[in-house]
Amino acid sequence: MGKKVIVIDDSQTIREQVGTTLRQAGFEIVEAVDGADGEAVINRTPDASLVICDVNMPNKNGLELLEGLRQNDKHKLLPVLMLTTEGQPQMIERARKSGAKGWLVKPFQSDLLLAAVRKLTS
Amino acid sequence: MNREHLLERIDSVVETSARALFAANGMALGKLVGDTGDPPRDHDIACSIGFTSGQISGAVLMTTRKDIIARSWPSELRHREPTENDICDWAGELVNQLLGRVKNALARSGITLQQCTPTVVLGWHVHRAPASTTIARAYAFGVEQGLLLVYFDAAIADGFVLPESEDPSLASVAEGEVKLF
Repeated sequence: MGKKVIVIDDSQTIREQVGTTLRQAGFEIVEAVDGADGEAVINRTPDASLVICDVNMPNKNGLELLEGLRQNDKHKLLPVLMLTTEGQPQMIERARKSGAKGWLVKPFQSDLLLAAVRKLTS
Repeated sequence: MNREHLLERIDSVVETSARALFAANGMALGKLVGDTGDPPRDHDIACSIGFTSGQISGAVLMTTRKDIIARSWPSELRHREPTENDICDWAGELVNQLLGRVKNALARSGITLQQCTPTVVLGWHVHRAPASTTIARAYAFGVEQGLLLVYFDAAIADGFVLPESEDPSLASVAEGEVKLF
């Protein structure tokens, strides 16, 4: 069984696009449809190796989710890679200070995503 | 900044963003077509996303045909045909990424926009209500056997200025790039 990656995005296409790329490389994928669902999925997936998370989502945005994880002893070491259309430095800095391990601006290139995921899960 | 110059800057940002977005998804947008009135009668999908900031707020709207959206379906997923739900989801993601590119371009001029989540509508004979915003721009791109229309509507505050110069450091990660911390 490959390492488990949680993909949180309100676009089903993006979840499938990321999932297809990573499954072909041997990762196991668990999906969540927004920030609140992402929080629930993270809580019931204690063996996850990485979270890939959108920023602009309904219910709870990705930065709020990230900040919540860092305040939770169970999840504060779980690596999070943000995958978003946002490229603004203030937002990137907020994520970095909140413990995100990387920032990828959509649309992603499969090889770059895969390289980042391999590095963050190694 | 006079109005004419502001519109030229916005036109340049929106057109460049749309071309780059579709090129990244394997579809070249053709030349802008002159007539940008109501969408053609065969347009059967529209997707929109709103944005706001202190001095400018509005929405980006895109209309086209579902088969045109399907042609830009991500290469990783081309092992299967997209369903109608897939096409709706992908159209919403495309308009989201289009606004993302516009936002990142404007960010380099010091304009910070907040965005909403997208809305997608299916139907026939879509007509556009007269715009009540300060800025109402329309761009009709020729695509193979059809058109893709992009509308950029915005209300701007008095004295709004889009700075002339761009500072690349104000958008520190470009589309497609990864930054690891």
